[in-house]
Amino acid sequence: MNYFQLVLKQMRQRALSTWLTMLSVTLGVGLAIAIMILGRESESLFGQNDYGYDAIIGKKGSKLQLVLNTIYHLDVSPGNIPFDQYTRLLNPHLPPGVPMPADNYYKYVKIAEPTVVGDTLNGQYRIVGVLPSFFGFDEHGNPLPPDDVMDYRPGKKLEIASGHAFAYNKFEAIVGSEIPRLTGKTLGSTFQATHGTPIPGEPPDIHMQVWKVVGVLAPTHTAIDRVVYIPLLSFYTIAEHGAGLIAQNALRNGNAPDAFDPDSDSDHPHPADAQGIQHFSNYDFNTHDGTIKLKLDPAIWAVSAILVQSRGGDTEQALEYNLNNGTDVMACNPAQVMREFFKTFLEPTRLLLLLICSLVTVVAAVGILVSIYNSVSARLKEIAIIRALGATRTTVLTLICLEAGLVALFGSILGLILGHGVNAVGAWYMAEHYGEFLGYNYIELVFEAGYIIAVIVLAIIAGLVPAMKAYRSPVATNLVAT
Amino acid sequence: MIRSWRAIALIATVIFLFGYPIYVYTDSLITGGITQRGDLLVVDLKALSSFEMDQDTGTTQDIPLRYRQLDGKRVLLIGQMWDPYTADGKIRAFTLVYSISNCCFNGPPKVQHFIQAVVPEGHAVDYSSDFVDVVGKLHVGVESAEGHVQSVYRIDVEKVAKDQ
Repeated sequence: MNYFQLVLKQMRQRALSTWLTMLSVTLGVGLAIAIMILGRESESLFGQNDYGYDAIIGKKGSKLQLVLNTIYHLDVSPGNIPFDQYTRLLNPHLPPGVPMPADNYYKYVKIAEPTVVGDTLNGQYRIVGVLPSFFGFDEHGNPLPPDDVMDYRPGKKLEIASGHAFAYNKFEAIVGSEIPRLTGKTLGSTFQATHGTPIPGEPPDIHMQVWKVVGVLAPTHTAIDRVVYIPLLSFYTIAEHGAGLIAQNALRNGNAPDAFDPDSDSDHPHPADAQGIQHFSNYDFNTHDGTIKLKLDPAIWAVSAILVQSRGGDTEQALEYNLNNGTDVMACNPAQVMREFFKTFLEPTRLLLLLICSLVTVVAAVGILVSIYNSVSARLKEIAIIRALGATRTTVLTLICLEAGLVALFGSILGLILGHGVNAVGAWYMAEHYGEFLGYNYIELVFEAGYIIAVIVLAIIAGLVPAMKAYRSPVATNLVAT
Repeated sequence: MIRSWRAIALIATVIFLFGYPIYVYTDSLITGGITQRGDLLVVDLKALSSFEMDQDTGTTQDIPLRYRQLDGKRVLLIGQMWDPYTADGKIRAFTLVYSISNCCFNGPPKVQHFIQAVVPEGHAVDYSSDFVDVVGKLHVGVESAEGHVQSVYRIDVEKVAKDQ
């Protein structure tokens, strides 16, 4: 009988005690592995740590809020900024010799894309108003030169996997790759927008307008996958949005905003006239070709944020400096904001998790020590018999350390399965309820395998305490003892 | 005797406190912040970028001659990385500045403060918020687009290491 068989026999003899010790190791390792996976995935939940644009322009306030809201679609929008903040970034097409106006920033800006938020699909998935250029198409649906299309990550542009880009003036939509799976809204589906994100139990305020899904994006593995994109123009057709724009414009000009009528006529169906046009207060809708003609003056339009790809060099810094020293808007660099966020929030969290893992491991090792120590105390006579039959002190020491190592090994394997199992349930829950994916199904060798080896080594070291007790116990005394 | 040693120590301290900055300034004035170290030219980034140039209409001739002569030379620059596109992980391109807080946020940024660093195809470097030593081939010359100077200095990166 070799050492291994002897140890297994010992473990079987006191099965209950062995199982309970193994259970404590399993729970400890399972908890530590689950924490490790959570720590790893909490970083990747942000999915995106590089950006195809180097500035975001938005309302003055928290830069982190602006970045989280615009890129990760978390938190609420800090507010709206006038649409002319976007137009001042564009080429003013001045005649030769005419100097660029001081408030035009075209010289700093290569590409700019406005976004507007405020509504959701089913109260859960954000609806974002953008221009067709966001997907690489002009107003007529023609593809733009690649250099004029913004990357969502460096070197990566959005691709429409099925369907086509929306028309800038129709109630059409392009959805992120996860939306069909999460909501069932796929090519040809229609939907209505819910105003904001209703809290549980609150009746949703569903807008009258109906959008049709005409395109589904290829996966990006970013928050974009769970977003519904509609034409910017169609966003302003919604009654509350139109009224909001008028009120905001009045306030900006120092006037009192008109009282908002929640039953504004843009949220009720209207009969079409002889030409097939439905007339609403904000827009006219052509029932023949489905086009929208917005009545709101572009001067009062507003956007939530503008994504900017600068011309490189100092241009991003120059744009930031110019805008941030003005009174209307601010610009920030998303990479810098997120770098500070990762450093401030994720690194201490990672350290804390590491500390918890270490404590859990020590607790598991102490469990093994106590269990085997008690077992050795109860088996001193058996150990003495083994010694009397010819086993050396080293053999006894090896057997006990091996037992500790095996308990840790089996417990760790079960713990590994448990840790990943717990995260599998979490991943399913997150995917169902938040559309976020937790990567539970792969083992990170360096950390997880390394951790298990550390647990086994620690268990063997813990096993040395009872092993030394057995090693030192006098054979003769224990043989006589009853 | 003790008094004279004290006096010597005091004088030495005063000389060090005032003399060292004067030495650094004078040295920078004479050498332009360019010194030879082995086969490398060590160039002081602050000296390299401390000259006036119109940010829209500037030309290569506006760059001081001693810095224009660095075009194509293998140099060592010490400064801070600024990557506007990546929050974490490996990067392939970055901007090198002598000090992010001093160069870029206290006043209007100037294009000559930003050294455009490009890592060769197939390679990447770790972003570091510490000061770094960057070795590579320097390119000097104004590049403009859309009525604004886009770049003055560029470097093909050979090696990036934390500054010791």
